[in-house]
Amino acid sequence: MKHVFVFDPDRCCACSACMIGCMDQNDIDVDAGEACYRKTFDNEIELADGGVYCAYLSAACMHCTDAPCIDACPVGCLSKDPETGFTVYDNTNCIGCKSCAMACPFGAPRYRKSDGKMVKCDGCNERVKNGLQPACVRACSFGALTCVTEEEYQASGSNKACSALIDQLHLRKK
Amino acid sequence: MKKYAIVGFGGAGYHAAKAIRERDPAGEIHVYSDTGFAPYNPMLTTYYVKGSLPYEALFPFGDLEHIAADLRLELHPNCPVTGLAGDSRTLRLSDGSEVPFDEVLISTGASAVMPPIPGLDLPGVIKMRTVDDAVGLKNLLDSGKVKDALVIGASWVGIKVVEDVVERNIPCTLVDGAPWIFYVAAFPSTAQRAQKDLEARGVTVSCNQMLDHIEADENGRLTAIMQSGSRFSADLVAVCIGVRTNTGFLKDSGLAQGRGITVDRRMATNCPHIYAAGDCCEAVDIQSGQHRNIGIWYNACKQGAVAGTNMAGGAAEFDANILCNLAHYLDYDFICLGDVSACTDSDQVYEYEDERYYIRAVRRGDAIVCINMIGSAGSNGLVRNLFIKSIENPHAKPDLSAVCQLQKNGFPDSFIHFLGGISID
Amino acid sequence: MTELEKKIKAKIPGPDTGIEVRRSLCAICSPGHHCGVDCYVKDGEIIRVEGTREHPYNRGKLCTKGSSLRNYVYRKDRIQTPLRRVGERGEGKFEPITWDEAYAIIAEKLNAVKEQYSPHSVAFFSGYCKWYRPVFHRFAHVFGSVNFGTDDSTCSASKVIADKVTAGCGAGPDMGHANTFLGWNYEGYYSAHLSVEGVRKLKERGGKVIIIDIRQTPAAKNLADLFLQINPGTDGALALGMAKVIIDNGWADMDYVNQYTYGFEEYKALVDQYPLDKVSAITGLTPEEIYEAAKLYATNGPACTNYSASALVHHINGFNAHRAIVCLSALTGNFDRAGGNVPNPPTYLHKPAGFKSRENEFRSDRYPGGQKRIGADRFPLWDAQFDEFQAMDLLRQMEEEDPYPIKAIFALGMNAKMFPQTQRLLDVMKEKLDFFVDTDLFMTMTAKYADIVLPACSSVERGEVKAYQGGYLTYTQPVIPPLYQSKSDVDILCELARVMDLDDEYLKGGYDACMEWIFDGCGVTLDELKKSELPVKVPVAKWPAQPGNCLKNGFKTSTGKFEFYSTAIAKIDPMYGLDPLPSYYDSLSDQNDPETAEQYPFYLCTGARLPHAIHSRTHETPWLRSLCPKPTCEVNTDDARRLGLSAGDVVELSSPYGAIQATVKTTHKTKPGVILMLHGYTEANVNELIGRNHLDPYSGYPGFKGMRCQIRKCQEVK
Repeated sequence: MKHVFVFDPDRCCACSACMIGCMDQNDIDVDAGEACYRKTFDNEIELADGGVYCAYLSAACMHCTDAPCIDACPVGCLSKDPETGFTVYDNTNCIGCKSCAMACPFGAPRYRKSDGKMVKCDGCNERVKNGLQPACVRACSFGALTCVTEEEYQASGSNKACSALIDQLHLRKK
Repeated sequence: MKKYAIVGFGGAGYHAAKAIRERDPAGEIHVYSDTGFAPYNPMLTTYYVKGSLPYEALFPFGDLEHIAADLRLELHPNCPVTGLAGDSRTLRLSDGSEVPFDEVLISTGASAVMPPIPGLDLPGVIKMRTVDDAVGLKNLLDSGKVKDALVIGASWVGIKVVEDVVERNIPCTLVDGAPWIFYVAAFPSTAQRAQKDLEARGVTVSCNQMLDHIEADENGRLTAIMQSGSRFSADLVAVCIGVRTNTGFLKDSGLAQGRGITVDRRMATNCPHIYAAGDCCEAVDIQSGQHRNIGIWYNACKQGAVAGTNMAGGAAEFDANILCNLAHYLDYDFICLGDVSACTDSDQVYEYEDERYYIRAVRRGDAIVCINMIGSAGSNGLVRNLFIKSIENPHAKPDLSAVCQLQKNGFPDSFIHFLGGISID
Repeated sequence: MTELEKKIKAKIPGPDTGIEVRRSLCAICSPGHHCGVDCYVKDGEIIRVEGTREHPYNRGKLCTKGSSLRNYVYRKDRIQTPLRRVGERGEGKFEPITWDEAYAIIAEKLNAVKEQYSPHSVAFFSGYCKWYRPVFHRFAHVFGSVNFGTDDSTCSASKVIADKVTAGCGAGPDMGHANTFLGWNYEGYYSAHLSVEGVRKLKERGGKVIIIDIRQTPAAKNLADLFLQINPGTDGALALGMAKVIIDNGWADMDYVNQYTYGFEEYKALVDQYPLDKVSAITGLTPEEIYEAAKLYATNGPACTNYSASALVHHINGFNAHRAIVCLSALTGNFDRAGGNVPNPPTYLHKPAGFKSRENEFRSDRYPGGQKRIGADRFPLWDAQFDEFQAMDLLRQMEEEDPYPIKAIFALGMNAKMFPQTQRLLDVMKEKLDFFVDTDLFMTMTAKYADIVLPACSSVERGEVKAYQGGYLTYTQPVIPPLYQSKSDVDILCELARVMDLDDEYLKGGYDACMEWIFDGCGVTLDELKKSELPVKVPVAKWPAQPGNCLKNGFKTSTGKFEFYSTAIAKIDPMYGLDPLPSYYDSLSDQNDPETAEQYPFYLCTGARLPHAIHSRTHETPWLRSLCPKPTCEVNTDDARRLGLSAGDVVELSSPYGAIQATVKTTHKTKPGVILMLHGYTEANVNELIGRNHLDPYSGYPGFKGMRCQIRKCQEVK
């Protein structure tokens, strides 16, 4: 069953619990300079009309249906999990060339200095396969971040998905 | 049952085969290659030399046998195609035989340029493109005999060879015939900064140096003599002055060619049922609307898949073709998006510099022409995407998420405004 | 990787992976919360933490801080053994000793002070966390000291007392039946994450939300129909101004006022002094905003109010500000009515659960008397209304030894950074104390001044009894054994009680003996509780709390009414100048002389909540610290431009009392002239800037959220 991350900006406060959930799941060693795979944003955007927009966002890999990072990787580290639809990877042969980062419109793949390899969100693929939620979703107290099956998403009629952005950028197979 | 030919088996050829097989389970797919290698990525050669990846990993799709079995391919290894009759889609092979096909893909790639300059055949003079090149350089460096090195050509390959050498603590000199390094992509000021930073890593850099010839002394030590009279001596000389499309065999084929085989967005040539993809072709550059050879792995794979889909009766287009050069070396990165050569003095210039980033970008009216950035690797995808969006719609604004990411990554609001301003819709 | 290896890497619980889910609670924040957690345990180690879905309190949710529980528990600087100081106080040099040695030393030293001075010269002090407090409280009194104090001296108790002297008790918002939610200082996203859903539900059924805050917040953006961005420290004036609008427009519930309240005429005379233009000038709000808020609150059917525990009462005028806001509830007939604010007294440790425990009796039955508590002479209202010493007078009393010396402090989790002018307190402790013992998980700034430091364990390493909303009680079991040689705070207290042979069977009997007595009669036994990994419904619990009790049976005040005019305050000697009415005065009234005003033109507000921090407790938790690595002050963007400051600049913040350095974040979310700074950083302890006598005379609470300061850019050191 294909899965979709849905983000509702009207419920987010950039509290970063999602990031902590990601750190906990992925044993992120921040003292060693590592960062988790999700980022939150508490930004103030000065608008042309003099106003200010307070943005609260949480972002990670969007798991694009037609993910450009997969073909961008010269070593073939990235692939789609046919069961969950997540963009997964095995970075054993990663050379840290950052081609995936250049291909990704969302800045999802990150360079990990400690081993010179790229890392990114894998949607907690194994957790989802075992009937659990992605760690970030599990940590969100406000319903801002959810993960549903594609069928559920279609049925909800929501356009709040990360998927809406994906559609906008033509990253879905036509 | 359709009969397909794929000439040249790299990233483009492989993806074409895969796309054909997905749509046409029964078709007969013949693959011709002038080597016996599985598809490999020329970009990986210097990483293999560096020791970043094992030999097997040069072949991202696995070995030839498995690929052939998985995709049910008729392989013709070490079987160069010497000619093509465009109107009849007939391949001519080196033994003189001729084989007709329903659909043909040319995906022969490109080769390193080795001009007829005296001394390029001397031992210790190398190029860097093929698996054999990589194995050769690695063995040479592993032998410990190279005490210093000269790299000719501050190109994307050249700089990676510099990295291979410098990471082994071997003194290295980089020379280029152009007035500044990364000439085809960098503004002079960008190049100046990159050069300064490269010199800080101990690399000697010299521009405006056109190679005249190379000599060897009795011990095999090499000296490159420049047209200026300058002499550079080293144990190793790497010649990295560019690539040329492998299209010589198409001379009388009837295929339209510029610097490569001209194709449309469907990767179709001017001859029906003949396609081209990857480093050997010139697809439509969406920025200029002109045909342009943009040889990067991602384009090759995507173009191959598009061509394969169309060959098997589907309908696909390749639409993200922009000039895009990423140099990543010695924990340093420089990217050029767009066409630096299209910039003129009357364009609007944006410049920004801090401890982390260097940016120089050019806009003409509504259109972004070219962006140079140093230190921006984590944000290159974001900026590239905004660039592509701005080409598709000059009035498009960066979306909220992109604005937040760029802000958080430390880019100034002025750059975000340069990229199109801020929108919260 | 094999399929099993993948599952182990992904921490999938199951017999095949050997990963077991064990349940406990997170005690990082205040005991008013404490969410249930699922700890994924493999080979005796916690490898992941999630909120417990079946837990009746948090239903699977955890906040940012709770999500980092594993990182908190396994901090590398956990104290491993009991320690004896070998260097100077504050130097941080210690040697490990055994528990027996530590107990013997503590017993000897405390008894020595008791004999040489008096038992009251030993002050017992508790910081976080608070689960052991009834036991510790009793311990102090059985030892013979009247002096048991806690961080209540600066947290929440001021509000509790203000409620008590006004309405006889506090009352929570009845979100389920309200039409309007007045979120005064409400920022549930940052400090009460479970409350947000209730506000959303109210909105979804058409209810209106008013948010009053000094800064733009996610609550203001996501929830507010009306957002009033008020000048800090002026909430009391706004409440009085709203009251005048409500009375003048005939929106007051005069039947309620006549029947259930006391002192309305005096109150009306007070609010008459606060016409809209005046209140507008004080609060920085437009008259229209104030009018609209008053109208919406008073005329849209049942309206409930959020009373935050500390945001308001951390102004030196905060006690009265809180009273003035509570008075709005009675004025509009919303107090003790459905959809308004409904009394719901705590069962145990600040948690209402619909039944009674004997917590207060356990704490105070052995009160020894015979001496005044610390702060009694200075804060008589506090002393009359709260069963602890007011620690904001500790520094003075130690310094002046008046009315008697304090010679020893026995502390659990004492945090000197909670005290204004922290370093001065520590210096006085260093100089004046014969003995100081502190217990903590980590070697804190304060613990470094102790003569003996004892290692405590965290909530997941111990078992504890806890009551929960809904009528629940639980007794958690340890999910891992205590790390190193650490012990639970209560085990430490009870073992020490045995070594000291204190005259109390419960303390010597241990935790279960204490809990059995406290919860006797509630209908479940400790054994039953222990057997359930989830909270158990208590048979005698009545939930939810029903409104109308005060209206029917009288308010717990001397008049039996809701007191606009507080008779309890009227009883305090007039020399203290405490007004029985909730009158308003300036939150900087002690520092408005022209010279100070000119030198320190900015309004410093410390401790406005951010999601990754609570006091100093999580600043050193690596995951949380990574979210904001540098101590940061928030400066209004226009101010910053005027001062030539950019984000990331290092500045010095100073007051007449001290100076610290912090990194600038520029923001449009606060008003010009206001500077926000999170408290609790050891290297940038903003409480050094708060004067030790900058206190609310009613409660003794420091004006943490209102202090004059100056900001200037630090020269870059090249």
